[in-house]
Amino acid sequence: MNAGRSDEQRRRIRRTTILLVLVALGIYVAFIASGILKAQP
Amino acid sequence: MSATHTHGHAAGHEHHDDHGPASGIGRWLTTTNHKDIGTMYLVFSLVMFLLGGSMALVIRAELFMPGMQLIDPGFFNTMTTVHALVMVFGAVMPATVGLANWMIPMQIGAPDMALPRMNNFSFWLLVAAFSLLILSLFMPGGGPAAGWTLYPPLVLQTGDAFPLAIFAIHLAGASSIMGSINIIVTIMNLRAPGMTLLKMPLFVWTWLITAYLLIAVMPVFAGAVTMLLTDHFFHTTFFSASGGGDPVLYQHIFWFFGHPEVYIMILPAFGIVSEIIPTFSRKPLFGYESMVFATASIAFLSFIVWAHHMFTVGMPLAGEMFFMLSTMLIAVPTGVKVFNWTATMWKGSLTFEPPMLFALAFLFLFTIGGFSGLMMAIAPVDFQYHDTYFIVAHFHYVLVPGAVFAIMAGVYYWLPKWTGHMYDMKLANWHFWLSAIFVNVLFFPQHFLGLAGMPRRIPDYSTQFADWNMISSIGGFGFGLSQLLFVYLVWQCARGGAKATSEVWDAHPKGLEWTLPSPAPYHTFDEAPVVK
Repeated sequence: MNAGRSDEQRRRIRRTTILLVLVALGIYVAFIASGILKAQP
Repeated sequence: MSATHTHGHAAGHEHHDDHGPASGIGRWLTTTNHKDIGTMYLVFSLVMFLLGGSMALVIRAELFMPGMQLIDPGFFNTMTTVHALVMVFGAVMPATVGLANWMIPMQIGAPDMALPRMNNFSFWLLVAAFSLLILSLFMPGGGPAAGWTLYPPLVLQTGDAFPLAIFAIHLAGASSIMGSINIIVTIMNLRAPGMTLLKMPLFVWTWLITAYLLIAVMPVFAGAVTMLLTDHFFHTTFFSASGGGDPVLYQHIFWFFGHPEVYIMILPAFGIVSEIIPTFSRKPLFGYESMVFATASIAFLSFIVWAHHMFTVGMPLAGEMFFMLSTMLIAVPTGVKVFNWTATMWKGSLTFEPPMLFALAFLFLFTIGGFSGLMMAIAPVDFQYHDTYFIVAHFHYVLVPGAVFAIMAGVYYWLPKWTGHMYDMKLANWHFWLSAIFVNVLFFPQHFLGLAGMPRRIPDYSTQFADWNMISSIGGFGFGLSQLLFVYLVWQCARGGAKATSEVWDAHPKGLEWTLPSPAPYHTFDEAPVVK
């Protein structure tokens, strides 16, 4: 199914995927960081 | 939904050299086809629905009469916990992902999902997640028993099941995030020429917004359970006051995930109902654009209401006011939706096939759940309702005759398109009426129990609650048994039956999926249709 995609389409798919993965990871790290900041004795 | 017309070979399946499905078990293990993966998600969710339902019946059997009857209190707590986790993450969410896998490419004119291998991976990750969760029931010390919210410090008392349950949640979350990325990337990049955003079917719109919600909140939940894990095994004190942490922090983080999670389950249901009601009213959807904006508004508001789950924890008056009013504000876009569905039916040429019956029941019964939600939004009143059966009644009205009925409506609507066969309408009507009656017998009395003061998550209760509990349990068993009809109907329809036409319904449904033959060919839209 991938064969019919243009280079531009592949690029956009890759770009959007990487961006969304980074957003998800960023949120995960940010919330753990907020826990670390809050839990200082 | 926008009117769509296709040129050329909409199906585009007759000419290409692509192979069909592989045979044997290998097809299902390695498939990257969106229809196969959609089917696997739907079958998985049905299995989980029956498993989670069986756990609910254990709960209702114990609550049939006052006194301890069948199980010990620890196992009762395990049942309430795992029932919820299985139903939320194993049944409702995968069912809507299954529908998305089947329908989104067909509705936007795409040949498949944008990331087919990741699609396969995210499904099998879910299977691994739930295998772990189910296995955790057999660990020393029993299964997870702190409620689906996994509040510390109670959850930290879980035995050997704890790491399994936490790892299962991580895997299920990773699976959801991957599924969401796939859906967003597909919708943003693989729409047919001419399919602008505001021409997309409502089901696609609601899923696009849901996928963004999932990416925003699933990592939050993952972060919370990671911190639980380190508190348990690495002596951190994120949620322990003894080391400078705060157990209430967990509740804030959990509900920052947990409230949008409710909309993750219900927005795709809104999309399904928005497809079905126009078809069987033989009218276009009233206020398409306002439906889109209402969906986006609900998603936005879902991020600023989380502490309404925590009024009794204690917070400043300004906080209570803010969370009370922002919660009430959600009634506005939701009201727009209910109004638009009703206006779509107004002066329509209505017929009542099984998908429409389920959609109508959704409309009435979800609204009941919405109204009781509005009652709980009022902070001083919530002090009375909190942790009572009124809450149980509320969220079950939203999730069972709400989300589950909409999913069933969607299955009844699209099943002939998937299998190429019509199902037994008479039996489907029986399934509907039995479900609609028993779901109310099951959950409506729980409002009375809650208002009378019966706490949730208890295996025994005062004799004053006996009558309504008995009625609720009868409803539970009736509802559970009625679902066997659904299993039989789906199985029978997959095996054979009267041939379905490409439009399936006499009502001439609109949308690209109905331009395809029934059953939809294994590969569709290799040549993109043009949408006017």
